[in-house]
This record gives sequence, structure tokens and C-alpha cells, in this order.
Amino acid sequence: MSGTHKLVFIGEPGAGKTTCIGALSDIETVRTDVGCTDGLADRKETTTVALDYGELDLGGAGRLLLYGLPGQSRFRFMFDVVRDGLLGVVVLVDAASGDALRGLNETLDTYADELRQLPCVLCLNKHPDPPLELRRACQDAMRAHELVAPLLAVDARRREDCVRIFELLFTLLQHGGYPYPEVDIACP
Amino acid sequence: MAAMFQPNRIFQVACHQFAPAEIEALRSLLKLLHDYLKRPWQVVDEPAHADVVLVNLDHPDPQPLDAAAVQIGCAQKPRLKRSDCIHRPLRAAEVLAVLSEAAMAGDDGSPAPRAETQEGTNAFRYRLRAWPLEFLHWPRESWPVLAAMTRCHASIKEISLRTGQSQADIERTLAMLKKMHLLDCLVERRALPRVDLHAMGGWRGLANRVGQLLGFAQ
Repeated sequence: MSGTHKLVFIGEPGAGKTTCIGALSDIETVRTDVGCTDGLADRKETTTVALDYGELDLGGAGRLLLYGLPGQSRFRFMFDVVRDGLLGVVVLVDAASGDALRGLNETLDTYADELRQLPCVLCLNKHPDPPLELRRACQDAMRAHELVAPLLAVDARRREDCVRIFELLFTLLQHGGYPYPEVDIACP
Repeated sequence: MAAMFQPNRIFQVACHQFAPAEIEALRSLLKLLHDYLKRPWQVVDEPAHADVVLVNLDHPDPQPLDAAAVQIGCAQKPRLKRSDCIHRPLRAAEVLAVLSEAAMAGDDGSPAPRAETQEGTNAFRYRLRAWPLEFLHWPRESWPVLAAMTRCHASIKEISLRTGQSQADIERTLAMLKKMHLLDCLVERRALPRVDLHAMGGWRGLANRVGQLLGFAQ
């Protein structure tokens, strides 16, 4: 089996998309970061204004393209750009943010229809041990959007945590009854 | 909820968001079906205590139901709803079928595997309401079972085909999920398991390759 597959990381600014892709990509990641000029400047120096891109070379099994997309509804059109050949979606939440649920809810409001059709993993990033209240609230938010997905705490800087995300995604793909694509997608 | 075999146990059925007249109609149906049902049944008000809950899918303001019981969707036009749905107003033959199946499962404390092996009979099908928050502490072997019930409902036979795990192992995971009220259970009349072996093989090959590269076993 060979081909080109895609994986998308979605989340609010500062959720850890760029870091996650950087931890996994075989190539130097393509970034579209610019300096923050709004309230986000309090939390990080730069932010991604378009998308992040990285690749994982699967040898004879092709390539896995890694995309980081903003979770806000105004960037919804970018999902359609990467939809073909999409294996799954990783939703990242900045668990250290005081308003983590707001970002998650906006992402789910925007993408719930797509997420229900794809293997999806929800990751609470930037907090070593997210409080149970937050994890329950995230689970409730998923249930309110009829989304069933594993929820786990990660440190996106740690490769082993990123590997666990992959392990869960491929567990879902392998056993979840998802259709297998018949044709390869066009490579960028 | 399933329980160990108790020969004198009276099974309980509840109605969720049904009109009082429909609940009375069910009581009358149970009297009519008394001689045909192998085990006694009674209508109760509280879904949390029921073995089976009939859910009105036509209700204009559907409320979530947090019960571990087998849930049977009921609708005026079942074909427009989910595939396991039965008719509302309730029909005697359909009520007899779902209650008989539920009693068979409840007698031995497990879902009814015998029904799954017979073409055209009912099969219990399960889907997760949510992944357990502590799933990372569950046995790693349970993850594929959770995955098999994430996207859509699946019978034990389908889960077994998808995961390669034994029925006993799967039932252990189901029991844990039932205790946590994280399992949605339906009865569906269907003949054969829906498992796409071609897709499974494709994903397995890709998963193995990625697992080799990143260092996880699939």
C-alpha cells in the first residue's frame, strides 16, 4: 500500500498545533507565523495566520502530510482545501488558558459535522494534569456536539505524547469501520 | 440492565417521552402478550431501573436519556429514523421481539450472542456515548474495543471481527462501560455483521508502517 494521506491538527491560537507538527515532521515545517499584534501577544510572540505544514515519510507506504489549521469559524474554508485523503483530525485545546472551553466550543461549532465522520482525538495541551472539571466539561462539550472521541492530556513538545496521539488515531482507523480510500490524492 | 439468572425476576420496561395514553397502551399490550413472553414484564416509570427503555424519537423536544438499559427507538416512520427503530404506536409483534431478546440477554447477564448467529434475528448493537476519561489506565487491549464502538453501533460479533478479541474479553469491556453509563445499546434486526475486511486490511498496513516509524505497536 502506498499513497499520500493527510492529518489535520485543529485548535485555537496557542493550542500547540505548530509544536505538535514540528515534533513529528521529517521535513522542516512550513510555517506562516507573524508577530502578534492583538490580545494574543500576552500569551505568545507569534501566531499562525494561514497554516502549518509538515510531512512524515512512510517509506514504501507513501507520505503522511501534516496540516495545522486554525479552529475559528472564519478559517473554515481551509478545511475544504485539505479534505481529500484526510485520515483524521487532532483537536488541540490550550488547557492552561483560563478560557479553554470557549476555544473548544468554537472549534466544535465549526467542525463537528466533519469530526463526526473522521477518526478524532481531543488533546488537552499545556497542562501536566488538567483538572477533572475541565476534562468533564470537554467531554460534555463533545457529547453536546454528538462527537465521540478519546480525550487525553498531552505535552505537544514531547514526541512520545505525539506518538500516543497517532497510536489512538490508527487504533480508531483500524477498528472503527472507516472506509479505506481507493485512490491516491494529489500531492502538493 | 442485565442481571444474573433469577427465574422469578420480573423484567421492567420504561417509556421515555411517551404520552400517558401510549404508556397505558403498552400495559395493555403486555397483558395480551403475557402468554407469549417467556419471562414476565411490567411497565415502570423510572428509566434508570428498567431493563429496556422505549424512546420516543418523534418527540419535538428530545431529552437525553442517561440510563444503562437497552434503548429501543420508536417512531411513526421508523424507516426515516435509525435502522433499529420500531413503530410508534407500538405494535405487538415488535414489542414481543425486543422484550424477548432483552430477557434472553438479561437471564445470563450478558448481551444475547445467540441471536447474532441466526440470520434474520435481533442483535444487540453498542456504541460509546463517550470515551471513558480514564481510558489510558484501562488495559491496552480494551482500546480497539472502544474504537470499534466509536463511529457507529456494533454487535459483539462485529467488534470481535474488527478487533480479533474474544467475546468474553469484549463483554468485560462492555460491562465496565455499562457501569459508567457510557454505552448506548440498541436492538437491530439484521442478518450479517457489517465488517469491511478490505478496509481493515488497508488500515492495518498503514498503521503497522506508521507504528514502526514512530514506535508504537498495532
